[in-house]
Amino acid sequence: MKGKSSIEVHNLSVTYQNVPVLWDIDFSLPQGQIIGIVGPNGSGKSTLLKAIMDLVPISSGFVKIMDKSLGLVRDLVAYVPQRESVDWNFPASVEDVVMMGRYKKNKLFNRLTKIDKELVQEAIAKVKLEKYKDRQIAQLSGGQQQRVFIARALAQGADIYIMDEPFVGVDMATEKTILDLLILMKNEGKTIIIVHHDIQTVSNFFDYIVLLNTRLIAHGKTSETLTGENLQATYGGQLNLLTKIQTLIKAKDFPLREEGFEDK
Amino acid sequence: MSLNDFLTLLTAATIGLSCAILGCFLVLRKVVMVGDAISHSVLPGIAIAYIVSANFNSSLLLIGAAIFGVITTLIIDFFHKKLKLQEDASIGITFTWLFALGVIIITLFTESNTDLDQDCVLFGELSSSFLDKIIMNDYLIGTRSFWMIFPVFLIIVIFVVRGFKGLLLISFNEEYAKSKGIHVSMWNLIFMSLVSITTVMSFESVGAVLVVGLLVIPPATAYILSNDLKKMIFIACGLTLLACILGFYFSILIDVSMSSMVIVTCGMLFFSVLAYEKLKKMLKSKK
Repeated sequence: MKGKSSIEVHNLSVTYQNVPVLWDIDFSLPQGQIIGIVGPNGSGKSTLLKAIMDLVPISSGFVKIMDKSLGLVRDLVAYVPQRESVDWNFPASVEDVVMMGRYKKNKLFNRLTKIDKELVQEAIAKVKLEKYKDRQIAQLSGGQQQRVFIARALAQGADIYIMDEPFVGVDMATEKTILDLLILMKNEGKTIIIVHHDIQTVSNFFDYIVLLNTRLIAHGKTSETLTGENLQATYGGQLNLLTKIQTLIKAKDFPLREEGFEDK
Repeated sequence: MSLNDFLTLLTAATIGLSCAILGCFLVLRKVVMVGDAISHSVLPGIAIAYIVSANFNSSLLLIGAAIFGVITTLIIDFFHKKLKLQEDASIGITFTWLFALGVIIITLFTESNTDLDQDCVLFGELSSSFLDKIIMNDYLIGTRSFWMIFPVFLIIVIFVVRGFKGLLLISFNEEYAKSKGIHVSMWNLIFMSLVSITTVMSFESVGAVLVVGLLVIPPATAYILSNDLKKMIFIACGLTLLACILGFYFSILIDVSMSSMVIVTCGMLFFSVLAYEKLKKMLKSKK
């Protein structure tokens, strides 16, 4: 692996009521790439993100971000929770929510500056929601809501973005907007880590993947890691014959699709 | 309006506004039932404060009573998060148990103390609050009930204005706030302490049950009417003032308890707003 690691997870285990959700996970992720964390439902993907963000108690192991513990580099990491995790009927506008990206732990009692406000407008523009910035968030489509969440993370001006299922329940237009944006961010040297459950789109979205099912199955460049064998190990009995064939074909198809996607 | 009327209304309004402001966040965070639980479980604390207050200054002791409210939220959290009991069950167990304990303390010890009886515990009495006037150098400076709630009201206003960003953030998206390293549990503790102190301080005037009405009804009404948190708070405050004034006159008109009448008026405002919104939607869809 070249360069410094963005996130290093070492011997990480998380248990919930004595049942392991994540077991002895150990990997380190590169910088400046779009990284997918892929696995079936209940495989601990979201929990892994939460463990990285220190939102769930860790049973053993540790997480390093840019070789430091999270407490020291919080401003460098932006977390995008699952869209369903909040109540969108909340009385707030698009701008209000994106503005939250500029709130900081130690400056919570200070007024926001002009620079803060400019960064917020910029973030809203990047996700193409300028027209909707004064609208209440309840009056947005699912895809637009997702973009609000991404704009909030962008406003934070972080180097690492950690997103929980940003492609769930979004329309095609939003998927395209988000993807374009992710590539733009990658070109600016940002690292993007995304929890994703739809194996069909994995090869199109990610440069690097982590395959997860409570244990770490495999991690590495998508082209080398997305093999039928690995998928079988990740999804196990959950794949029916048809999807198995589909994914095998897709996996074999891979080198062709990867051309032009290389990032050297 | 006589001086006594004014003093009574002033007390009612200060209590109402304190509740309305806090209530907005309770409603948005979907923890109204925790507010309900707090208002009931401060009872043992209040009972103890009243019994001991024969010798001490009761206002200070009452702040101590508010600790029961904070403990309640901690116990609920413990049952729910550590023992994995359902949240509503945790709430139900905690506050009924403490409330019953309070009732027993009162019935056992209040023979010697006429300030506190079971009726007052449940419903309070606003209209008698003007009897307890505070007079300094021959100037009337308000009633005891008013001076109990007013400092709390000021603290709430300062806390909400200064800490608005923090409250907004944790109300909308607690997880995200945590990911930014914000001490969510500390904010929760401060907020629930304020709810607790407010219920204790408004206890004599509106009682443990009716205070919940002030915490919930105007904010819920404002929630229907607004799509902005600041607006919601102002509308809730406006509705509360309106309910206090109307409730006051209604209660004189038909000679009933003022605190109950204020809550009934809050409810009527809520239903009017619901009807108005429904009508507006119907008219819109016809066009």
